[in-house]
Amino acid sequence: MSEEKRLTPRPVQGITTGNDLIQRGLEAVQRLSGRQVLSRVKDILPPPFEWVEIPGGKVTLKPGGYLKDYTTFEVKPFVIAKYPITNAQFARFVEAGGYHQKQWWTECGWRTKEEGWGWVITDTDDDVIYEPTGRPWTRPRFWQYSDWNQPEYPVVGVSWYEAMAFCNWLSSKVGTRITLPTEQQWQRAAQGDDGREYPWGNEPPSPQLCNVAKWAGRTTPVTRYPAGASPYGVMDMSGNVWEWCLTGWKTGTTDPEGDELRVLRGGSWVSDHDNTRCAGRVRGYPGYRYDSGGFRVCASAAS
Amino acid sequence: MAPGGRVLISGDGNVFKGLVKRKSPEEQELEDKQHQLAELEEELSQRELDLATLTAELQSCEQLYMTVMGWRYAELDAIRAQIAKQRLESNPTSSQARTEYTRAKEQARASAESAGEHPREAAPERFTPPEELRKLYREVAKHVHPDLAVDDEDRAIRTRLMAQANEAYEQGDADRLRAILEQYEASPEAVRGETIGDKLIRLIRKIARVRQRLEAISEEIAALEATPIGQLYARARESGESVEWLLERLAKHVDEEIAGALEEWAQLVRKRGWR
Repeated sequence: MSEEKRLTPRPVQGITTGNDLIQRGLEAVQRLSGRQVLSRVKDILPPPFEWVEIPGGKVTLKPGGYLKDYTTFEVKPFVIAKYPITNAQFARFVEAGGYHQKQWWTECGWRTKEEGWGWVITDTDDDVIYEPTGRPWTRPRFWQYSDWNQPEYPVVGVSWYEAMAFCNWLSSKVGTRITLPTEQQWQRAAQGDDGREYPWGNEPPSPQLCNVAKWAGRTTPVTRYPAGASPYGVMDMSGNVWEWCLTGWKTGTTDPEGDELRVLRGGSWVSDHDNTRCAGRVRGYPGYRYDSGGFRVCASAAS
Repeated sequence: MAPGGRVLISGDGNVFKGLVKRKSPEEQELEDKQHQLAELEEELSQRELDLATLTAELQSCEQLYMTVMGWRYAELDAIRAQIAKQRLESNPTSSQARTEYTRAKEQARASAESAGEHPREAAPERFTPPEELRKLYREVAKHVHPDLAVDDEDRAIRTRLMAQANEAYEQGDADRLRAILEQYEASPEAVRGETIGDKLIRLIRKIARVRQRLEAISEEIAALEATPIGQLYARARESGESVEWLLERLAKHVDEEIAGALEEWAQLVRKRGWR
């Protein structure tokens, strides 16, 4: 090496050869350690829990809310839970005191929970209105009913706020950001690349593929319909429970603060076929606690 | 100092006024600057050591990486190119298959070229400088650094010696470092007579040069840390793993990818055979 070269600032390229191959290794190591971190979820939540890797790609959403027309989005690779969060899994959050720890909740979420918003029958007539009951939430609605609370059944009666609080608690336990999927991520995980109508393909729903149209009359265990899995193997994407997405309906925001209506996807055990399509989109007030509403979690592939 | 080696001290603990020559402002300034430079020299020698160590460590990490991973990625890409070829042959009119094959072939060629310089055998030893070597290097940098030169001639000598010192450090050659140090200490630079003003100007220049060099070192270290190998190295250190262990894990992962690709290729060949 010449003297000048040795003492003047050395070009980085001169130091490293085979940069491309090293860059590949670096990216692989980043992915591997991300997976290692994410796999800790299985130590925290009871089974069944699996992450499914969804490759990046395009997804086309129907108009409605913030979308004025059919719109195609590019989605980066991510991982999503194979099943909706079950009662046994949500119980870990309840038992850990999650309903009493403000740090997991958004500002609106905490206020809504403290005020105990719920359906109230008015005195004057039989109208049911949604208003503060003064009784703070301490667990999901329907938590005590055996029709809904079986361990491997999806948690229901959780608002978007509770779903987000669960994600924040889990993120902190695992050490990486775990959140609700955006509706783009959700649809990509359900539909894959071929624009199919339903997660399993284009044939209409049947009792072998999913739980819709009150066939079962209630929710079912999250592992019951392997034949109805999406092209990536994600299960229960059609029917069983509506799934809260991160996305705001009116503006498309992914900011968790505020009380904007949020997107729900996938239809439920009650829904007719239209709502159970991969591309079906509805909206809900983030404080509503449906007997047909649950959620699943997702994370960035590079976390 | 009194005869017999004792300092004469008055009752209130001050050194006898009669023995202390009052310093001129220039002398005081010179002393301050000398002090400042001494501190900077200390810092400079440490930072030069940091830079030389990181450079040598990354070089040896890179050697190791290419020995362990180079041929694996080359092999994986070669199999992938074969898979793309099979796909194109079973669907010769597909422009997507053709593009894929062209891309895969180019990738395989580039990987083979990068990996080719690094045979898979004989993993090189990692650079692990013993404390004695580090200390010696610091000493050399403190005394020999070109930015402490008095004139162009001196600077040329120092530049040459410093380059030799860097090489010796990377090779772990303590004897050579010692020789460089002795060689420079024997040079006549220090004995030239000059006025206080000359000395002061020279000191100020030296201080400015050392500061510049310190900034340049920081930039060089940041650039090294930002390279892929620098990031891999940092990742291993942060998680308390050795680079060897990290590479072992990565190798296992790529071996699985190779096995998967081979299986896919075999299936394609079988499928075409049945037609």
